[in-house]
Amino acid sequence: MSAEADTIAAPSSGTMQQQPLITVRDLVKYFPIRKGVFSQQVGQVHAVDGVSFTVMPASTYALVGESGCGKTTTGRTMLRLIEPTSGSVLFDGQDVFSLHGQALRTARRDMQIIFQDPYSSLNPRMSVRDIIAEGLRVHNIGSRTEQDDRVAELLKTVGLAGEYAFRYPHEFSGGQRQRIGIARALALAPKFIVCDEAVSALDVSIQAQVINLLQELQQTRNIAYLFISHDLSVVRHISHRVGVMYLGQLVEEADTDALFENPLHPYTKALLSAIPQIDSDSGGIKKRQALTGDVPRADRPPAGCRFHPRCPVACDKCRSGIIPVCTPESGRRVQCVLYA
Amino acid sequence: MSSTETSCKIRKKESQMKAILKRLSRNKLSVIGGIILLIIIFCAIFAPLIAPYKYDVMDPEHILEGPTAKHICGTDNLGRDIFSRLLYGARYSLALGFISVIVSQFFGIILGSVVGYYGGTLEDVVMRILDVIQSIPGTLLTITVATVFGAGFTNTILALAISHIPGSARNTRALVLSVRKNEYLEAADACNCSDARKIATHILPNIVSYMIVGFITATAYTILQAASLSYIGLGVQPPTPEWGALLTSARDYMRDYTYMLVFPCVFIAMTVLSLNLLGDGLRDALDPKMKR
Repeated sequence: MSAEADTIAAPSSGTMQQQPLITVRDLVKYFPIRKGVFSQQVGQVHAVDGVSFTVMPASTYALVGESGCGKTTTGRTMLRLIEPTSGSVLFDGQDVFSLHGQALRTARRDMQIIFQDPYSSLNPRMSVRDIIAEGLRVHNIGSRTEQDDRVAELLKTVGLAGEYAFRYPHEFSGGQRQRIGIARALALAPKFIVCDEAVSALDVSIQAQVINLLQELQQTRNIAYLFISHDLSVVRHISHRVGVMYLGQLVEEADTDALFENPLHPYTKALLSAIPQIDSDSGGIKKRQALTGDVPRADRPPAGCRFHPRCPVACDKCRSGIIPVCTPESGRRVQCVLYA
Repeated sequence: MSSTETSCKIRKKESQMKAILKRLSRNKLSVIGGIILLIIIFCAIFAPLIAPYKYDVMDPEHILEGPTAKHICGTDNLGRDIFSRLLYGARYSLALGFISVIVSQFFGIILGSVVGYYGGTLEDVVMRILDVIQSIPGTLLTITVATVFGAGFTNTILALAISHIPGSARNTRALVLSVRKNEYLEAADACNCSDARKIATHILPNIVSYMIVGFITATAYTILQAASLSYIGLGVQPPTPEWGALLTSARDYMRDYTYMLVFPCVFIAMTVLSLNLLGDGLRDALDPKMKR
């Protein structure tokens, strides 16, 4: 693990000279598996296992991968919604995991989250106004009337009428609810928002609206996003940089265009070939490289490269030892022996 | 703008309460249940004013008489007016039901929500203990506790309350768990909400309607249990005119003087039925999704 950390540590965004807003270093989260009458721990799920990446200010970093690969856990651990097992997250130079009490409270104003499920993410007993203003109330920002003005302004920003403030979540459609969720995330004027499958539960036409809204907000308010998604077309559209996760590890990371035009890791190749294509120029459908087998169990990940049981080009070197993180070209990292 | 907003808010608060009452009033059966319950509670409170006789006044000239104009529910073996005894008895039966449920729910809710919210080893230990207690059939447990404490009004309340704590704690825990997994609690975490605020604004409002309904249903069941305890002689003792105790005294005469048994049964059944009807109506009325 530590050898790996050294290779990964240097942030490698070639395009921008700015300081990264967030630096995730060697993030690890294991969930205990408990069984029996007194819940003895019988194992660990390696949800996130040594993930490192950086997010630039006002840019979008996308995390993609199959369900259960640890994307969501990564996002939530970064916000301390889940306590990490080890690793560090630097937000504006501050280690988020070492913060407590007042310092954590202040830091949380800058980091928010938008959830996947627009139904369970809004409290059905609270009016839209109370939902959006909750952050302001917890942090004692402004008087009641100032808070109400802010709610009205936020509703307008996300494209909802101000009089909706007194309605309850069940009176809205899925897309409207997601807008309310976005308004809530914006209330504290954060610099960074985790969008956890923020558009996956929406209809395609509404997806487009919400994505445009997110992009517009990024431009006007300089917000950085961690965009967690399994929808690669959306990711290609919205993100500046993409990280591909497999079984808790970041197997490839690159700028969006580079990754989609020239995937290097065999898993990324398989993932990208699964995007449905309408391609009239090449005169035929691109050959889909289907993966065989299932994702191995995350409580007993395979030795060596975690992808080797399903990898079409796996060799002996992949089955054991530490797989190096390579930098085949600038701004790009691949964890695969093929590029060593 | 600010003044209109605040007035809007106040109106909203009122109208929420009104909306619940409105939805409740649309359910005919629960309105009837509510009215019957109110009448019974009224009778219990004003028993000395309404009752034609005092509950322990004996009339040796009218022993075991069926319903007449003078004694509308007849008299018992000592010549006491059964109607008056029923009215006074409502005080004891309702008090037994409500007080023991309040006590058991109080401890059950605290235990259940703490255990459900924080989880961990505490939860394991507490839940296993409750499992053991709950493996004893409810009535048997109540009888056991009542035997240990002895008969009497306060002891009956204790017996009923203690035997209902595990169920109440278990229900509350289940409700807290079902709300806890919702993402809005994570959203609350993301803006650094305190535990107290999360419980007060996110968890309790979402389970309070179930708790109210649970409270009313439990009261109905407890009134029945209290009557059963008195019937087998473990509850409130004669001459206290508790409804179960009235049944006990009717037991020896029920073949020839059936009315002695019928009237207390009608009172118990009406109370339990009205509580259940009201509970059903409230469950629907308190659900904001039912709003039209």
